Amino acid sequence: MFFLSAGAVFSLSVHLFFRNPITIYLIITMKQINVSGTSLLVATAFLLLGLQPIQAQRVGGGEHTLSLLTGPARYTGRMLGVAGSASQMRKGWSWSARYTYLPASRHYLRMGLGFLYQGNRYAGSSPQNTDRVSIHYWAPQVSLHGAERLWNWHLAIGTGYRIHRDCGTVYGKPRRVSMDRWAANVGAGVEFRPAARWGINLAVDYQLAGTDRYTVRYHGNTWNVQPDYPLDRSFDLSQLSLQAGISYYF
Amino acid sequence: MIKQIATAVLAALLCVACEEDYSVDPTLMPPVTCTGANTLGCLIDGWVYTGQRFKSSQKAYYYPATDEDTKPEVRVSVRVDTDTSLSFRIIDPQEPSILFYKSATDASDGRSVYTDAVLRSGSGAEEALGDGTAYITRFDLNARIISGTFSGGRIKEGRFDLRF
Repeated sequence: MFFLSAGAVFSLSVHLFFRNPITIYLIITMKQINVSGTSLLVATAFLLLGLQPIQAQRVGGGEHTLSLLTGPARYTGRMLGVAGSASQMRKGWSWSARYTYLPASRHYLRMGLGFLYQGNRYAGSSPQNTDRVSIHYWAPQVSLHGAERLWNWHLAIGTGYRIHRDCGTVYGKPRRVSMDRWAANVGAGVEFRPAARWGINLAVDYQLAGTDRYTVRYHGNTWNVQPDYPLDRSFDLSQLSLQAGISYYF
Repeated sequence: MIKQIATAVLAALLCVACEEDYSVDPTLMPPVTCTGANTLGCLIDGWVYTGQRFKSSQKAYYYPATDEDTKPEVRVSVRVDTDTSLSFRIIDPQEPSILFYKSATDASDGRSVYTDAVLRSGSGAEEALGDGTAYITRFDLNARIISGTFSGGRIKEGRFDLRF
């Protein structure tokens, strides 16, 4: 399965390279942060499906979209560095702001370029410890849009930087954990557009990241912790979110 | 006095050879165990100090009584930071007795006194932490394991599970 996925990813990547260098850049970045072969295959397929009919079809002016969304999130990776129980912290909350530029096109499928900011919050406590994990992610992204008169859908992929903090306490004393990393995101969404300038969105986003270490500051000291030392195995820090919100077109 | 000097010299030599275990987060207290996991943790003035980050072959030393006037003791010396160590002496450690087998007068409730608790920095400065009470849950001379909890003075929530 691994070799099949790897082979498919490679052949698709070579095909895409000659059409869109951004795509190959995204795929290489995803590989660097230890995204699995299957995920790479899915991400590549998303873009391959969308790119071919888009090339050389732009006409006239484009359309800008600004979206604000919020909703529940689930931490699907390993909760590293927390002082309390990781299992009770998996459910959290997320919010995001997205900007997308859609070139004008007569065709059903349109390729967009944009920027994503997403924030996530998870919290937990035990009699001695508290954890308040906040994650902020910024990424440029490319997206594929399908538009009807009232309903739109989109697929998006991007890569950017993720700031991960846990500002908690241990026996009442402050403890700060950080593990900032490059990350990637894939997402999909649908939109109901009842007015020319306004739309209502529902989006699912999956954020992928990995790390083999974190930094903890406590009592004037800074410690580097490698949970799998002396090996350098990377741990999954992925998270999934389901968000709803509004879009404004201008 | 000779014993104390010998212990200090031995601890210093062992610390030179200490290897740092980066898999350990020294800001989190170890669980209370009695398996010889070689762990120690406590709060000093409310801050967590633990001894698992810095590996050493031995963190506790047993000294049996040499005559009728002395009592057996276990000396604990654990490195808690790159240049700081925590040490104390547990006087006459005993496991809690099962009263069914022993008379009430000989029975031990596992409580022992610990003394000479000191936080020693690399520059040689020493901070006295005060004496307190250790509750021994396991004192196994065959497996050479001592486990228990301790608190008193500036120390709270202490727990150790050491091989000697």
